[in-house]
Amino acid sequence: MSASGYTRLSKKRALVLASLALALPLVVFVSMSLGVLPVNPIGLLYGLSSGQGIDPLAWAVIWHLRLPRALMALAAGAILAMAGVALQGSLRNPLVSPFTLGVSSGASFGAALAIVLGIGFVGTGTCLIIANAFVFALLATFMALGIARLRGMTPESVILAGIAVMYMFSAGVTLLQYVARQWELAELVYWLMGDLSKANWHRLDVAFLALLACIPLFKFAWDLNALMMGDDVAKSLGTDPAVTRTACAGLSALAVAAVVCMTGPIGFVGLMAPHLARLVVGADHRFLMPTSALLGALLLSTADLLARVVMMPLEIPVGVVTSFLGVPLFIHLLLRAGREIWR
Amino acid sequence: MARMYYMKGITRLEGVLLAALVVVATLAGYAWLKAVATPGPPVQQAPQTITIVDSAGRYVTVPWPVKRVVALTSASAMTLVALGAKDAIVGITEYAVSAPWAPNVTSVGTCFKPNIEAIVSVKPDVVITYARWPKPEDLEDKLEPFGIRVVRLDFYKIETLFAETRLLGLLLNRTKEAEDLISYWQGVYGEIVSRVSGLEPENKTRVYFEGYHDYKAAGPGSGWDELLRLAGGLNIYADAPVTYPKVSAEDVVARNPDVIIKAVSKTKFNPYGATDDAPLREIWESIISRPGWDQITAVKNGRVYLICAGFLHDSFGLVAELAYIAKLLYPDLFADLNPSEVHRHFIEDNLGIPYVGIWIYPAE
Repeated sequence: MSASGYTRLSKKRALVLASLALALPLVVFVSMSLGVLPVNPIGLLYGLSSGQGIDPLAWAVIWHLRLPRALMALAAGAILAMAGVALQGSLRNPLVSPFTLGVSSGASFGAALAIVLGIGFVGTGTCLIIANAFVFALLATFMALGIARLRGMTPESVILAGIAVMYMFSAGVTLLQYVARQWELAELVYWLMGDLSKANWHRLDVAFLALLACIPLFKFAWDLNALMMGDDVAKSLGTDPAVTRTACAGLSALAVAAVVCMTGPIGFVGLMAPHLARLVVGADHRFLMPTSALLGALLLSTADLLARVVMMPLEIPVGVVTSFLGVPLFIHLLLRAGREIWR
Repeated sequence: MARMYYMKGITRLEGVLLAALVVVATLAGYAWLKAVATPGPPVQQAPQTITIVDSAGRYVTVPWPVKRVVALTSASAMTLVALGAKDAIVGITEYAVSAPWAPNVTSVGTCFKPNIEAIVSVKPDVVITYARWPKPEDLEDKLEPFGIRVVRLDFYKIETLFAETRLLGLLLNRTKEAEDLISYWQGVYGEIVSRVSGLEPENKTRVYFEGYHDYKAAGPGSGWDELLRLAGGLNIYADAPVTYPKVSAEDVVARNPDVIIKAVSKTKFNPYGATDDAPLREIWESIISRPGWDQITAVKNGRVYLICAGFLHDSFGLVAELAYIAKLLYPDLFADLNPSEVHRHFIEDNLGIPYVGIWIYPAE
């Protein structure tokens, strides 16, 4: 690549990052002003800047319901997307998502145990569900990594072990669904759909802690770039594939489990946001990671906004909207890309 | 000196205290008199409240009398209409919003996913929902900042139906209407239960009750299982390990029920306003022609019935459903009971809409 080409690429990357970073507050503001209770966006903007003049009821709705939810969407979207990048890169496979290693099925199984049988580690009710989902999500990932370790942590072994674990926990969920009573079944089915309406300020604290847990992933950007060229090349460049893989999978699982245990499994973002980012800024993980994070946050918060307002007062499951929103965008970028995008 | 005070029978301190008491008593008496005698300007009264224990076993304090209600369940909305409190309903679920008996108010989403903003916008005094759904974190916790209370009442179980009606009547200051409803419906219910209480176990009718999906039986813990028990029937799957067990055709033949009842869901056949029973005949024929079922006593004796959901199973429709089932199980014992009349009372007299439709196939 010529020097001027590289400059052009760098400029493009900076432009993409800057415009994504600007789009996020915009989406949050729109989320704050749209909903069943009408809020005048101009009045809201004026009220926010002057600190007065907002109807107390409208402000209560914004503060207690809309804002935590919008921020939760940002955090969850960013975490899922970053985990997706780390896992796709370290396992050198474009079909991998944060859920490939069993995080979501483990979390679902833990939640199902709590909902149907009331079995778990700590707490009761909602606490029990969250704690269970978190513990089993991590358990599933570490089982998968443990099995893969016996086969030298090759990408295939990690993925196959993950899929095996995933099927095992899914079977457990199906069994629990079968023995569940009516109420429990309804609660479980809604949990499995995944949604952000449970967001509140306390849960947001946890989500932002999880977001912090993702920061060490940036340290592996160069290692991931090396791994993309194959394990042997990576080794010759001083990267230990097994260590990188274990670290990326472990950190991702930790962050994703913290999100999924509160929101339920939200699919698509973790798989697609990295690809969208790759199509825009290329496969260099130093840029891919932040771009994916911003793109994931943008995708999920926009999707959740639409899920809330399209069929008011009914809410569409957010996973449905992310797919409807992301797939056309993805296909558009895929058809436009003139070169091989994966490398 | 001391002796002198003693002779007066009173110390100086006591004298001062006594004088003070007199002054205070006079002033208080004057103030009291003034307050009673002269009606002052109307004092802004603190809103009255009432504290009740709901069906989730929690103490809930709500403004009294309740004037604005969001009903998150059809069953509670129907009971409100039956109490003559249709005007108090300010929000209703998506499922109930188009029902013929429903008031013309806004939808607040579904019971499983209530839209908190929509509830907040209609400014209710209370929200009524099931004892176990939605979870408090999705409802109470979200409504708490807005000062809206949640009362959890089921209205879908006979064991609690009457007490819940009484409580709802109290909340809305409609106790007379509540007692009238209870006396009629408890009368019907009590009559059915007392007549079947004398049945010996060997004389009880053995029933296969199938839910909305083929071969999904009503097991222990299901609403239908309870109705069968109250109607004096023996549920052949009362021993199942799960609520809605998937059973095999062969096993039903082996258990050989005297009566087969299948529940038809509203999506397959909407009973209200229906005049053509052809879709029901089709379902009915598919049941009696299931492989090997010609060996079952119920099929041999022509005792296979369909019961259509809708205006049954919720609120006092439960008692109407019990009456239908009791008559299907024991036509001789209940020769004088007319379930259609009971059901008509619910739909026409309680809900205020015409009684037209097909609920039982074949017709009694």
